[in-house]
Amino acid sequence: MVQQTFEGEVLTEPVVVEREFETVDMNINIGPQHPATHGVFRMVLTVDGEIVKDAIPYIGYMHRGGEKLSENLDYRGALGYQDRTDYLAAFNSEWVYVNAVERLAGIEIPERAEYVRLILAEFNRLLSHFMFMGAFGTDVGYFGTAFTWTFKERERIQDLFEAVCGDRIMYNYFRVGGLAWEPHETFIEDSHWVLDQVEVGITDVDELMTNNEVFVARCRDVGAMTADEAISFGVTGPMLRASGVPFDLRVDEPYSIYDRFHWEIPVGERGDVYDRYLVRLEEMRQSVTILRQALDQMPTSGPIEPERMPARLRPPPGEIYMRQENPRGEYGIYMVSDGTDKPWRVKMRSPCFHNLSSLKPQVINAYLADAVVALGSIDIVLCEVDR
Amino acid sequence: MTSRRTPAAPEEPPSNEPPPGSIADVYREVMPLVGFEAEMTKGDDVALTIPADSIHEVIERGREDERLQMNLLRNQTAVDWEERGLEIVYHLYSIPLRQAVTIKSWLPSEGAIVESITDIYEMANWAERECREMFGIEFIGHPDPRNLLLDEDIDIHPLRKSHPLAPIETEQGVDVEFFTKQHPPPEPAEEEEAAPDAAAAAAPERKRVEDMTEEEREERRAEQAERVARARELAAVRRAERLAGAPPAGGPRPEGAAPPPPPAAAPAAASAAEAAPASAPAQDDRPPAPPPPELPSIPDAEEDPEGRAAAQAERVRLGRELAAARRAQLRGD
Repeated sequence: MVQQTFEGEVLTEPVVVEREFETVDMNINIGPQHPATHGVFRMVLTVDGEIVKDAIPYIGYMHRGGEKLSENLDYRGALGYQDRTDYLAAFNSEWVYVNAVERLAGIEIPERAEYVRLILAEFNRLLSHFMFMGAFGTDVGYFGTAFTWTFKERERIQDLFEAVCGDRIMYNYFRVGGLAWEPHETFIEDSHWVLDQVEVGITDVDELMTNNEVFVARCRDVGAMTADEAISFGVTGPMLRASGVPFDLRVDEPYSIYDRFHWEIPVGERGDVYDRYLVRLEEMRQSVTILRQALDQMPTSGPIEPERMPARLRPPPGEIYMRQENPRGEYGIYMVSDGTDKPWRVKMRSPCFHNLSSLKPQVINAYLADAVVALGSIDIVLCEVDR
Repeated sequence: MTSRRTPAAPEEPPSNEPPPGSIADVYREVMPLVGFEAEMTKGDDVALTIPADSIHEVIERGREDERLQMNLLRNQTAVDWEERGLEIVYHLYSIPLRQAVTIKSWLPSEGAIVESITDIYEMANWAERECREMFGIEFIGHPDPRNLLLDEDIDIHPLRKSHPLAPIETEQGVDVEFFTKQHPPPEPAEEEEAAPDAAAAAAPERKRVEDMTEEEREERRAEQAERVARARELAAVRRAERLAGAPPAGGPRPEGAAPPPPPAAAPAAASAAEAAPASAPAQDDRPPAPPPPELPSIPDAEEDPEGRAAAQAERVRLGRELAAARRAQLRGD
């Protein structure tokens, strides 16, 4: 063979030959069934060596036509679909939908129901961010540890939800005009107890990840986006705030009763993955602050639905774009009524959809391993992207 | 309850005009030549209806003007109003000034064409792709007008009201009747008669293994062993043919039949005890491998440096020749 021709040849001195390797661009397909894509998401990366030169995302594997289905159901019937879009923040999505219908139909809801809704939605934000911490930690390299630590607290929040509405993920608890039924008797005490545990859990996550050298090295200056870039891509939520824009719909366009509480909007500086993590971590603490105030202010008795509700909702013709701050960003429902008992048009503005569209500039000219981290930091829920 | 949740619709005048000093007046001042029709939505937003040919201008100047600063395109969609046409909707927001506006425009139902605003907002890229596939609106100047959520080859517009909800499976090529009605079992194809063994093996009235008696199980095992042996013989024959470079006997392999019927050459191969001898004669037909060349010995560097270099070059040449010959042999030249 060819190799044997060199036998007996002994090099006395090492010879270093410097030459530039010309690598060929290569296409790498990731997904749709890949654990790093957090669902059914596919992207084709063109890599030059280890540097990503181009990225083409493919979505739509989970497209179920939710808007079309909602247009063919009556106003109350399509509510359950909202649980199936953002399954990690189902209360928040439900809340946007029922708010849109209520404002379209001109229904006033009792104060106590508003408080319960807000408390459950903020708990759901905590749950979703705990889920992010676990999944993102796995992306970065904490196999198992991050998941088990964060799921401990997530489990407690889910137990609370189960006590309130009987379900752990697909709640379907909000109703147009109020709530399905009263929360259980010890709701406020249980919530305080869960909050105590959650505060410990947030500190645990903080101590586990924030100052870890490997974690910082993997996250710092990865996927950085400037504020203008992020706004141009329609990025909202913690990703936009990490880029230094203090845009939070709970403050900028206050809805519900958020103007009764005091809290701060955490804002990042560099817009990289590490800032997104820090913003989410601080948001969890702020959620706890909101929840403590809301639990103290909440009326202990009172109606949870209006005295009179029409059996069949027929809102007057008109349109509304209802938007609220979900854990992932601005979730919007654009609803058009034509006066019948079915909405003429329902459009769901999904925050993940537009956050994901900003993936391409984040991964171009970055390392392939950083592309996975950047994708994980978006915190996508593919059911919500595809709707 | 805050007062802003109180519905204002019944008390409002039927004209639904926005109050003076609203953002509609700013738009009218900035762009006096564009005809704005303003109204208030149920969400207390100002909705401006403009002609379709001025969409790009209005949105671009709305972003650049100091009094508007609409830097966030938060949502973009369309509404199908059937005979009245399509209504395209843009929801804009100004983060510095905290003001929202809705820009709407009417388009014809068939052949709707709009200028793309991807050069103003990157966000419009995916939003317009979705709008195009769902409503069939063409966006002039879009850099990447492929389908986004739907299959890339599919050319339907599902969010049009004319698109049916239920019989979507028909458009996807799914035989709906097959799943909704009881069907007789499909008649056996004619190819199965050519392979009686295969037809018998795949007979539908076979018992489950759990229900079989011991003799039946014994029978079944023997049958399976026979099928395995036959498949091995056939594989040996095929391998021999392939190595000899001959076209496979019996034409293309039938698809679907579980054990392929043995070709005419099978009995000859089956008579041999092993599969290896069957392929052995075929290998002999090929040109014999070239014998390894004798390699020149390499002299010591101190004694004969030139001879050493020549010997090394010679060995490299021989090695390359040998490698080329082996490659050619493996390729079957």
